[in-house]
Amino acid sequence: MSLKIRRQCDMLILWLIVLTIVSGCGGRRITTAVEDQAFRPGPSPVPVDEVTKVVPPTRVEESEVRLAERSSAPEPPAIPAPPPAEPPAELSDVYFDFDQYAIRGDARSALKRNADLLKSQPNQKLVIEGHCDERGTSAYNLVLGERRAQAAKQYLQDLGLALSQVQITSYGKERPFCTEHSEACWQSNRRTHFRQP
Amino acid sequence: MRLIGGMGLVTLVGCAGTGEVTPLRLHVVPTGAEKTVKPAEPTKVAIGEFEDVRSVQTGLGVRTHLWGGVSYFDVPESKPAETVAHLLADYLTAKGWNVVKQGGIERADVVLTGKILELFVHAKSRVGSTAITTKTKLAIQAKNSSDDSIVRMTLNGAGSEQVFWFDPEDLEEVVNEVLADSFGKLVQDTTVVNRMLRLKTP
Repeated sequence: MSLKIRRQCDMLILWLIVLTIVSGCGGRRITTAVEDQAFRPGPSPVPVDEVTKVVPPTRVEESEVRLAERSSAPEPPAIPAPPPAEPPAELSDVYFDFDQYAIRGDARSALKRNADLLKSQPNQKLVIEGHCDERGTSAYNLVLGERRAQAAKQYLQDLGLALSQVQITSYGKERPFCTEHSEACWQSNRRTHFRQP
Repeated sequence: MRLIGGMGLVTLVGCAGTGEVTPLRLHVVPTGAEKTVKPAEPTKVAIGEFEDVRSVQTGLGVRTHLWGGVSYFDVPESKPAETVAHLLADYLTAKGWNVVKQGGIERADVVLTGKILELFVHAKSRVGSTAITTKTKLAIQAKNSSDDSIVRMTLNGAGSEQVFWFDPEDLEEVVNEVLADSFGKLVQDTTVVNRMLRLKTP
């Protein structure tokens, strides 16, 4: 084999190797496909076959409890006292039906009184706490409590209360007013409570 | 001819598998600056348990060598499920999500758990190239604490690349990109409403 032919063979083999190397480098391909997506809503609260309507605790009882709490506190000084930690005792709690956050008829009058009082004190800030009874999960009741507080806030705003005056929070079933396992007790826990921030 | 012979020899050296296990260092978060996609609300997300339900749970995959024999790929300590959970946490953190420790002091708004249905890599060496393929299938579930609702998503990921010189880093990069792409799909297809994860409506 002549030297020229041999060199041509070498070049050919070299080119083949280069071609092989180049062909061996392919671009990266990445894909992701969603096979399925699903959403499952949370469980409904425990159903109750029969709900006994009970009268929520009256304002007198509420006031008595708060007065009792205050009686253990030290006597106020003679100088003008700072604003009270609680809003005026006349601010009524508002009660709800089981698993509901709609404002009831009896709650409307209470909220109207609350709104009138708060409008007379435009600098008074207010926190509306939403509470629930012990039935259902904690997570569910947190949401329900928030909706109750939101419903009360909306009602107060519709009555002309300034948006900046009101904040809401929810304690779900974590801070019950009453700890007995009765419908009367549960009713007293399904409430919104009003306090100063 | 010596040059050609030398190149051929170099090409073929190391092309026989000896059954060794190569650990893969998986790391889905790119080192460079990346645009963050924070949820609109400061939602706390916890990464819960990820379960390995693959039909074959040994390692991550194999490399079939040019001259026969195989070697294996695995993650350190052979816990792919834990690795994927860590990678998801890293990915979401890099995207600006507030990832908290599950069971810690902070209560998570959303808990993500998952199942690894498939996670497999294959490197097949041929004359002049090695074909890298990887396939993943993750079933991810997000449970919202506030209303106990659940969002489920099954993500099929796939990746491939051909290289001349095989390096485990090439394989790591492909797996990393496939997992990051799947996690990205989870982020893209969901939204946060009132601290709850929801599927985006089409």
